[in-house]
Formats: sequence, C-alpha cells, structure tokens
Amino acid sequence: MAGGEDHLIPVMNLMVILIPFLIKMAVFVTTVTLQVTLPPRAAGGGGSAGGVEQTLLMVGVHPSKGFLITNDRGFLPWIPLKDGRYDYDQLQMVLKEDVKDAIPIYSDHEEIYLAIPDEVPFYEVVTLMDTVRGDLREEKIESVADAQKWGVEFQPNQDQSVYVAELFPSVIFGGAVPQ
Amino acid sequence: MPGAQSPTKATKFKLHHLRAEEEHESLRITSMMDMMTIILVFLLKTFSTQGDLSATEATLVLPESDNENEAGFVDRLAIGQDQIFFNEDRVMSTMEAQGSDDLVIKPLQVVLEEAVEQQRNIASNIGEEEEELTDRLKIMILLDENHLFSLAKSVVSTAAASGYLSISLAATQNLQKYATGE
Repeated sequence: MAGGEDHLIPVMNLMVILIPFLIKMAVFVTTVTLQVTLPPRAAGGGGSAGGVEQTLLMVGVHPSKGFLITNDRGFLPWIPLKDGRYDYDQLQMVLKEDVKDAIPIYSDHEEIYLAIPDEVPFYEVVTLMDTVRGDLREEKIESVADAQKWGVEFQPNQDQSVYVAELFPSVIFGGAVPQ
Repeated sequence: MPGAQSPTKATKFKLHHLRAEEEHESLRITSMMDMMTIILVFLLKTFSTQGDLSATEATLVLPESDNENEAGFVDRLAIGQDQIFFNEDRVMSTMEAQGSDDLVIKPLQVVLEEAVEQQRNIASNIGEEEEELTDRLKIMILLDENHLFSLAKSVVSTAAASGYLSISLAATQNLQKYATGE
C-alpha cells in the first residue's frame, strides 16, 4: 500500500460510520413562520387607521358549534362542524365568496381577528390561520413599481418574488369568543 | 553526485514500469476521502441549519402549515412538552407557565426583557435608528402542536409585553397539507 495512505484507513472507517448516521439523523424539513399580532390597545381597533369605514372582520370559534364570521354590522350563519371536526374548506369558501368577493370594503383588506377559546389545540389554530390566509400565489418583482406595490425593497439583477395571500394574511388574536 | 552514473534509458523505463505496477496494486483512497469530506461537510451543514436545535432540546412536535415564510435568524422561544427554552437556555417548566394566573408569564418576561435590552444596547452602540429595531426585535415561538391556545396566547402576550416588535409562530412546512385532504 502507498506510504501515506495507510494512515487514512481509520479516518475512512470513521467517515463510513458518520455519514450513514448523519443521513439518518438529518431533519430535512423547513421551518416556516406565521406572523401574529395582538389587538391594539385602543378601542375600536381593526381596519385602516383613521379610516372612516369600519372594516373589522372576525372569525369566532366554538368547539361544538363551529365557526362564526362577524363584522361590525352583523354575522353570517354558523359554519357547523363536519363529522365532529372544524369545516375549514367551507370556512375558506365563505370567506372568499361571501366576504372577500362580495363586500367591496374587504376586497383589499388583509386583517382578520380570530376569537379562539382557550381549550382549542394549537395545531387547530395553525390550520385556522392557514385557512383564513387562503392560497398563496407567487408574484415576480421585476421593477421598482412592483416592489413598491408589494411593500418590499427592490433588488436589481436578482430573481425576486413575493408570495401574496388570496384572503386575509394578517392575523390578530383577540375578540370575544362566540357562545 | 560526483562519480554517480546517470541511469540509462532502459533503467529509467524499468523504474517507471515498476512504479506503475505498484500503483495498480494499491488501493488509492485519497480521491474517495476528498469526496467523503465534501459529503460530510454538506451533511453537517444541513444538520445544523435545518434541524431546529431549540425544538430538539425542548422535545416538541411543530404543527404543519403550507406557509412559505421561512424562519430567519431571530430569537427562538421553544415551548416543549415539559420545558421552555429561550435560545437553547432553559427558562422554566411548561407546567409552571400553564399554571400562571396572569396572561403575562412573569419569569419568562424577565428573560425576554433582558434579551430585548441587549438588542437595544447593540443597536444604540452601532448607531442604529429606532425604525431599524424592528428587524432586530423579532421572535419566533416554537410551540408543541398539542398545547392549548391558552398557552399560545400567554406566550405571545409575554413576548409582546417584553418589547418584541415582530412575533411569529413556527410550523413545519407541508405544502401537501391541504392537497391530501388532511
């Protein structure tokens, strides 16, 4: 065997053990984040600051009744549980068709209040946040105007894009839990 | 060397032939070592950036989300099944936090306020504007999927009360979550 290479054999043995171990242990997952906000201290929060029109929109959760969508003027019919589970598909459909597309003040609105009882598990909260945010679509940023439109800094000569939510991406925890 | 005879062409050829034979017989592992080293470095990098150390230490399972916002370099608060960790330092037991009567968890608030103060000091030392603090005062909360919303609400309130300006909840990305009808 060549002079210097025989010293590498123990290192090779170590590597052969280490590599399968690391492949087995490595967590090939991506951690994502969901931004949350608490309600402003000032009464009557929600909607654009200084706006004349009130746009407060809230989804209330009830463990046995389901979801209740309310705003300043009233509420939509309950979205009941389906097979004992929250009906997220129906909630998303109602938020899109009966709120976002049907009520002009909500067409560009992003904020939504979630009134969640204490006993709801956290994974249901995350699913609810995904549901009220709606599907994401990727928007390419090719000019300064595009960057301004989506509120990001323009980076020339770079492949830049943002994900835009279809419904209400700005979640605020708070509000009265429906009874 | 004086007096030494220079090798003839035939001797040179013989020597070369012998060396070539020797090389054929031995296993050349240097190039394989290079490859292994590259793989090892790559795996170690993946290991440290993708796996969340706070989540590992706190033994928690994150919920799944189809969101696209990836976590950056922010402060991390992991609320595990038994313990609460802030940037890998144990703060208190989860049971103690659950038993808090107040919406703001006091022992946690002390630790978070200290971290916020540190960030503010760093910002003032390097002459950062107040508006730029938003980028510094970010916290990501890693909460076990089976904890109740009451705990999530308390932790978020504590982070806000401690001075964090941007609070986000962590989840594991699963783009197929809704596609498969889960």
